[in-house]
Amino acid sequence: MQIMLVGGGKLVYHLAKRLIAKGYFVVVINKDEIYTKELARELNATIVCGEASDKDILEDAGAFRTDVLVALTQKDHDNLFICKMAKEYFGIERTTSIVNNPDNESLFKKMGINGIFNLTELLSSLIEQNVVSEDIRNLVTLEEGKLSVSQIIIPEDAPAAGKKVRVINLPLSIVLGGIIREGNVIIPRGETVIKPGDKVLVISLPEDQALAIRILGGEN
Amino acid sequence: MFIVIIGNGRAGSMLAGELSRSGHEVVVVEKVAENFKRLPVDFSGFQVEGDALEQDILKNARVDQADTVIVITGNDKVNYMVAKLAEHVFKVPKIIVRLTDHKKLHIYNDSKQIEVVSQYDLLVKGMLDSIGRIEG
Repeated sequence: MQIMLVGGGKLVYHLAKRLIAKGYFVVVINKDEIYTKELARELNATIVCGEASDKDILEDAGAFRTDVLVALTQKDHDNLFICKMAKEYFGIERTTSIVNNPDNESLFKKMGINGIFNLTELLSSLIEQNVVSEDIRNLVTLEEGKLSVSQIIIPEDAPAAGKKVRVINLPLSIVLGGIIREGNVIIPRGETVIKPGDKVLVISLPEDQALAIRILGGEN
Repeated sequence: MFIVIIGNGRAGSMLAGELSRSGHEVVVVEKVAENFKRLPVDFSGFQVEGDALEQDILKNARVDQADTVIVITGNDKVNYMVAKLAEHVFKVPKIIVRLTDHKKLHIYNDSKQIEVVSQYDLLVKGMLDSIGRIEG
């Protein structure tokens, strides 16, 4: 399988190195002459120096034989353009791109880019989780953050501790997906009692997540 | 008609002046404030300073209410993305885009609302026409 990487920096270098180690044919396109020369010395890959949005450069780099194109530049308009060039001109089915401005994710999705990595959002949410609380972990958000799944460890002083699910009065937009207690999974019903130390999987609308945390996790 | 023009270079400012003179409501979006000096003195439209790749800037320029958006910066990739934002996010009924590299024309294939003006095609056509007139 041939993978084409467009972009620069440590990210492209290390990604290329890993893909080569796994046995893929890797092509890197970058317009910086010094960077491409360095890469050509270090990597067992085809390195092309040029503008990746130029049809002739893409063709020279072997776009017709490429299975996956990955756009990793810091400019979203370049990433979008290169992915669409790959699709429209060379029939590359799979295109993956990073998105630097979170606002652009939905446009990229609409335009048929297959894999989208919203870098700013990913990093900030990872850091936020790490900073905010160790008892609460955001596991995943679906559909650009329209639904969030998080895990809350119930503290001793939580309003919900020691109560039945039925009586803690969760709004309808918050669903408990499962309780992990001493390694066993319990599917919560109305009669299930929530105990301190339980890991509770919470599915909710993002705007109600704070409320869920207040009820299940206590003030902090 | 309410027209938003993205890019106030030599072409954009000239077009903005013409459209404003003929009575259209015009908003010009430009990243470099300095470039607004290019607008003719009798330009009566609005100026929005900022990067048109930011959706907030397009919102400030009221692209969502525009009858027509003209994307006329010198960068084909920027033009493509702004045109696509206008088409998909702001649902603009008519979008006209400037294209520099005619080899990139095919990328607009799937765009119904977008009309592409390829500058070098026009230039070559103009030259050929005038040769035709000399010979003819």
